[in-house]
Amino acid sequence: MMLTRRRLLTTVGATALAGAVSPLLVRPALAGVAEIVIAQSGGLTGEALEKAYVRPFTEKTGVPVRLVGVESSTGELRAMLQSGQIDRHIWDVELADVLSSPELFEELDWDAINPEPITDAARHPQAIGRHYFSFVMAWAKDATPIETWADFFDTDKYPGRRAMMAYDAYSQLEVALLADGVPQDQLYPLDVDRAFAFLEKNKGKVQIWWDSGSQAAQLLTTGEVEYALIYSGRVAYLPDVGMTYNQGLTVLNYFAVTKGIDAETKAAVMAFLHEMTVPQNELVAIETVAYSGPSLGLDALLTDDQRRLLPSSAQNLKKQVLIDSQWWAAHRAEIDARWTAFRAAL
Amino acid sequence: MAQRLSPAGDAMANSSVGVALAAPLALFLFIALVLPMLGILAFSFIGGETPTANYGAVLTTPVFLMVIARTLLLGLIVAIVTTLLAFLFSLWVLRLSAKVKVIVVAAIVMPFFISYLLRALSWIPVLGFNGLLNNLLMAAGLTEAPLSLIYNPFAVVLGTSNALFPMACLPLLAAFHKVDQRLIQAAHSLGATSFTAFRQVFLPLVMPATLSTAVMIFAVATGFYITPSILGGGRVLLAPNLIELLIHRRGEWGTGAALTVILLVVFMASILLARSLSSTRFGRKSA
Repeated sequence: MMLTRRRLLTTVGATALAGAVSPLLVRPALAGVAEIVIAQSGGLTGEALEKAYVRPFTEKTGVPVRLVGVESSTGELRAMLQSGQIDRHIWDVELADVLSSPELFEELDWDAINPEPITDAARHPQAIGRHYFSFVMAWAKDATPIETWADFFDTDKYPGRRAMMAYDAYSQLEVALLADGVPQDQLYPLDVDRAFAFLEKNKGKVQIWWDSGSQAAQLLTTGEVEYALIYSGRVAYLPDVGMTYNQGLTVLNYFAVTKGIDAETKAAVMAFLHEMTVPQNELVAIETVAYSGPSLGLDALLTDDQRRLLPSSAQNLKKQVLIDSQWWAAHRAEIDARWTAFRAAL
Repeated sequence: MAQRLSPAGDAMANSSVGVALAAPLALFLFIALVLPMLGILAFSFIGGETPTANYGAVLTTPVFLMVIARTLLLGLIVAIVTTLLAFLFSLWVLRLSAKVKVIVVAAIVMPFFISYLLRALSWIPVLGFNGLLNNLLMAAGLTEAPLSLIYNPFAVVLGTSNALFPMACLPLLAAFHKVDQRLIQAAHSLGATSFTAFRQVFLPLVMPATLSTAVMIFAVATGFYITPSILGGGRVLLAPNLIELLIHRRGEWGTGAALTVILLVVFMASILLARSLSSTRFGRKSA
């Protein structure tokens, strides 16, 4: 067809009109973000994340959020940064990880996050508090309830098989020291030699060392073991399994952001992190898994039943020990080496 | 008269076609196997103060050496047990009628469709503390407390052998069926007993296949980490589990890669040793 003046004017006019109108149709700032990817530990916490935070965020902004599984955030993040291709933006981390490897994580823009009121502990330059979880003692349906870690290792008074965590000494050194008689407020700095000596002496009482939280829960529900050290979220809502927050080890789990993500994605991520501080969202999360977020407005929304089951309610916090992330960041390397040696000789 | 290609031309034409046909596979193997191995090798040199620091760390840590030794030992035990059982099983299959043979071989192949994870997990309801066998024994009054049948090295050997049994059967079945039965009949007609015929005729003929099957099972068994993880109850730490711990959970790529390379070198040395031993015994003695 010939290029007539009419055709030219129509085309140019249409383009100009589209250019003028499109900013009004497309969401500003987050327009170019394809999706946000969160690397997290999955299971019930992943479900809670999806229902409580991802849904409202995607409704508000239109940016999809994809959840992927991860077993070791620092390991996989380091590998990803080495490969040069960023495809995961938010990571499920312990504060100890952020403290020991700050070069892997982006500085958070707290002004952009503009959080609802949250606890001080949840505000860190490179990480935002996500939820409190605990390592607790739990028992199978027909087992006698126990109260302390000393009971956990007392196979005469409380016969039965035990299970503990295979891949990390995190929280288990504390458990050993508490069982050995160290008072709760004198745990840190940990007497590592004493903890390992106790574990060496009592390792025969632990029949199974579990590799994942779901395996641990299954050991209890199928009766493979009577007592287990386990993540509180795995057992708090189970009708068949008993647990107590007494002498539990609690820690605030964090989200951190990949170092070096582009500005647009970062803006979207900051908006997402805001959603994590909204008390109503945290309430939805609690319905799926018994882990409570750091929002200060959350407690007012809870029922008494819920307070009983959550690690960070006032009544439960005072029974537990808060894990010292600074100490763990400082001693990680040496503990890891010792734990490997311990495991190899099990 | 049809023109015949010279034998040399024939061979050359065949070999160039052969090369062309094999090239895609070779390329795939190069990308999927050789390049990652080179990558692991490269990783083993970084992260320490000197390029060989990781190797030094692995070789001077008693724990790592113990884990490697334990892995090779368990691999050897699994290889012997599995090959022996597969050998006996294949002998039995040899005597079956053709129809039954087909069913049996199909039954052997079916587990290949089930993942190693499921096969390992399926032992737990059977042999676990609260499993079928223990509950039966306790109900029958034969034992007071449940027996510790799994979550130990024995269970790892059992589970690995069971998982690799089909893999060992197939090459042995193939080798057994290639043996010309008339040789056995000839031995009988010369006065040999069944046992002598087996020992002097059948066995030497299938020994190369048996040994290479054993070596293959050894190779696969030393790389197993799901089965030891589940059936070992976290108490049987083998090299693949340790490597997973170092690389995946702790991000210690340098050490993990160095351990991988060392394991590979030790493993290949064992294979070469086994092959040189078998060739001296069976290679030169053949008639």
